[in-house]
Amino acid sequence: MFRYRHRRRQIDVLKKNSIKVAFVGNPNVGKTALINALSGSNLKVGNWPGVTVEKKEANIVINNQTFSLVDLPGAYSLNPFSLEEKITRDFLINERPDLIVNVVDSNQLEKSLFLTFALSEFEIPMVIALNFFDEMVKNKTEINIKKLKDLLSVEVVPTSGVKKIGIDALKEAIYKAINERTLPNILFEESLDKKFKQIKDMLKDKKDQLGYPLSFVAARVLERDNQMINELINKKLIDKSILDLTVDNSTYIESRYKFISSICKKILVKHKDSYDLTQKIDSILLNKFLGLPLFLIMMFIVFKLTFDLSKPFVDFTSYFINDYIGKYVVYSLWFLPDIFKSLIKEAIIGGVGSVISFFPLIGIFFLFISILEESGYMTRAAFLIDKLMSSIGLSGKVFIPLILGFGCNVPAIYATRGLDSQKDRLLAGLMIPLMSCSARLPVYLLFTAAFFKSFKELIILGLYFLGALIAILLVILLQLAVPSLKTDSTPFILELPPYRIPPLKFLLKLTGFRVKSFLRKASSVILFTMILVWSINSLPYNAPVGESYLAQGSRAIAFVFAPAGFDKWEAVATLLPSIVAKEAVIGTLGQILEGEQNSTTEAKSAEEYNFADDTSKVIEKFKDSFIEAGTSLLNFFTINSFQEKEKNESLMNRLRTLFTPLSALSFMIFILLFVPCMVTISVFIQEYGMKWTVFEICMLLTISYSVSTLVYQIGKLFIH
Amino acid sequence: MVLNKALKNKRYRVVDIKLDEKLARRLQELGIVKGGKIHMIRKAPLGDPIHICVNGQNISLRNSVCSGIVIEEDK
Repeated sequence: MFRYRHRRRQIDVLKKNSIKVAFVGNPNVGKTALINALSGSNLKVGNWPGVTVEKKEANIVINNQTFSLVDLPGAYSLNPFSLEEKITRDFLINERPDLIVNVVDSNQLEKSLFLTFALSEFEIPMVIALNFFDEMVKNKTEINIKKLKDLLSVEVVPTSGVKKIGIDALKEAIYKAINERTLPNILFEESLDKKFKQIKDMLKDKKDQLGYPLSFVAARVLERDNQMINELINKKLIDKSILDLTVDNSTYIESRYKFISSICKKILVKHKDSYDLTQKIDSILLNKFLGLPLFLIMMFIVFKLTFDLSKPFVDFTSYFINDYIGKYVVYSLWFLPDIFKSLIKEAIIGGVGSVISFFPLIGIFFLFISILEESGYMTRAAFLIDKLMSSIGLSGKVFIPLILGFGCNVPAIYATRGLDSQKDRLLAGLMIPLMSCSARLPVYLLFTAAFFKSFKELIILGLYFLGALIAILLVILLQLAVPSLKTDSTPFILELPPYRIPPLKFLLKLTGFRVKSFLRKASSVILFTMILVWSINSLPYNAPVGESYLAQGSRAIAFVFAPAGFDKWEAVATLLPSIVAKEAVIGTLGQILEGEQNSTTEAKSAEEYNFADDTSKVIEKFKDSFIEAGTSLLNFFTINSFQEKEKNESLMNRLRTLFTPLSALSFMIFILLFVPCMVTISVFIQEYGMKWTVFEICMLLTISYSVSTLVYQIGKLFIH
Repeated sequence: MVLNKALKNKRYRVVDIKLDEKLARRLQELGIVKGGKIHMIRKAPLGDPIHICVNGQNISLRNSVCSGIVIEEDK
């Protein structure tokens, strides 16, 4: 019977098109780098369904057989504590991979083996990859691989994903394990082993009714897992008498650790205390006095490099797509009526352009964030700043996405992926649009220059603080209102991994994959928004600015904004374009207030089509953007993106006829708190789903309206 | 005494873990088990959390968790 089953399974496996191999290991053991090394460049980065945890997959071929490798989220145990661990456990139970590659940090064998032992209970063939083996050799430690292999009855391969060591040997081991299908030994200390076998014997006959692998069930019963025991009692598979064979789970874990350390004593020879270097670096980076200043400097550098280095390239890409590609695409479509040319140029090419112009920013940002994550500093940052964030019920890591939000909300929302709990991820996401991004600054600069000359810095600073303050209040209120957000599901337990220098090639590859997924997912929402906004703004076609649907609609709803002090349709008309990009508020105001003397129709007839000239101009601008990026690095202590644009006196004069200082303040607050730009929205949908996006938009509409109304009404009391 | 009172750079032994089951279990899985050793490394600059070393692994724990971990000096 057994032999027959065994053979049948083997045939099944070989017949199937691809063999599922799950990579499981503790966090920070280099799983991704190992898969990357195994697969060359086939790594695919996506999300696990319904959650914001990154899913990485790759296909490889060994001896004409396709293997699909899945990188399961890092786990310390399979008794899920975090979302990542739940995904990993559910995958092992529901998807039943054909093989587990247990990636182990050779330098922390004792800790890693705890998971290995838990994995053995799933009755899935296994290969152990002793990763970071090169580091271990450097640390003058030896592992008796043969003994470990015999003990667990699995293939054990020394590897280094980063240095590409042992990759072929690992492939061979995977192939061998799949074909031999030997299951790993399940090891316990003597007294528990006896009980484990007894439980297993009792359940053996009902094996097919258990719903889980036999050994997995037996182990859960052994450690008195009430959920499992109740399930079995309900199914009438066991009765209460089985409890005599169980132990409480702390005894179970203690026994397992004792057993593991006895194994480690047999197979490990340490010649030196490892991780000296990490301790030394920590004594500086986590120092009582130096720790926080160094952290702030580090944040400043990341912020500065991300936004300043990318800005010239963002400007260039936007110019290249809109003014070069757009111009000539429209030129080549001369046979189309003007209205379609306008749609193609402004909505479609403009939309594609705005996605692509985010490339340099997102790319540089992902690169830095991967460096922080992979080097091990990210968890240190959380350690340093945790106390501040814990006062509002969040973990220290949340600080980083929030700070990035002041530069641009889009990468900030991506950065929430690195947070440890679903709760932190969601709350941080809801807070980020309230962080005043650098695209909102030009609006403040224009309005403060027009209305608050003498104390404009104070007003701008105040706006930044207001956004942050409202975000904090929001998080506190949400936790009070939604109980599931309040229960701290993952109390702050953080592993501080050893410092490692991440290999540049790997970082670049990872960044490339993440940028690609941004392009794929952001485009549809953005195109939709662009076409919508274009239709409202440009139709009826060739009508004067004051007669477009946008103007008509704004006139109709302007009264709604009377309590907030800006019921002029010209002001209301900027709100819709502000969803395309925040700085569009200024462009729209300019267009409406200064008439059309220098825009569309006239400019169009004056436009010259000289392809050669324009091409050399593009090349010139491309070169310039490198020079600009270079100089921005030299002027290290000024943040370019915050520099004032040239003043436009005539626009400011017209603004003064439209707003009073108080209504201007109320308008700036409204822009600060209003619905974020479409790129942020599309990323938000990507990360948190439609439901939370709708929630966030409704909430921001309410907040922006009520706060600016409040400010205007209170202000009016003081002025009278 | 509890882990909050641990002194920098000293070694301790875990006597008891008085925390809810789920949390206690996670600590045990990380090697913080009764009878196990804890090396107190430092407190964060703002006083919370703390940085300890267990089985050669660096772990950071909030004070609220530490107050449930009973320890004694390891001689």
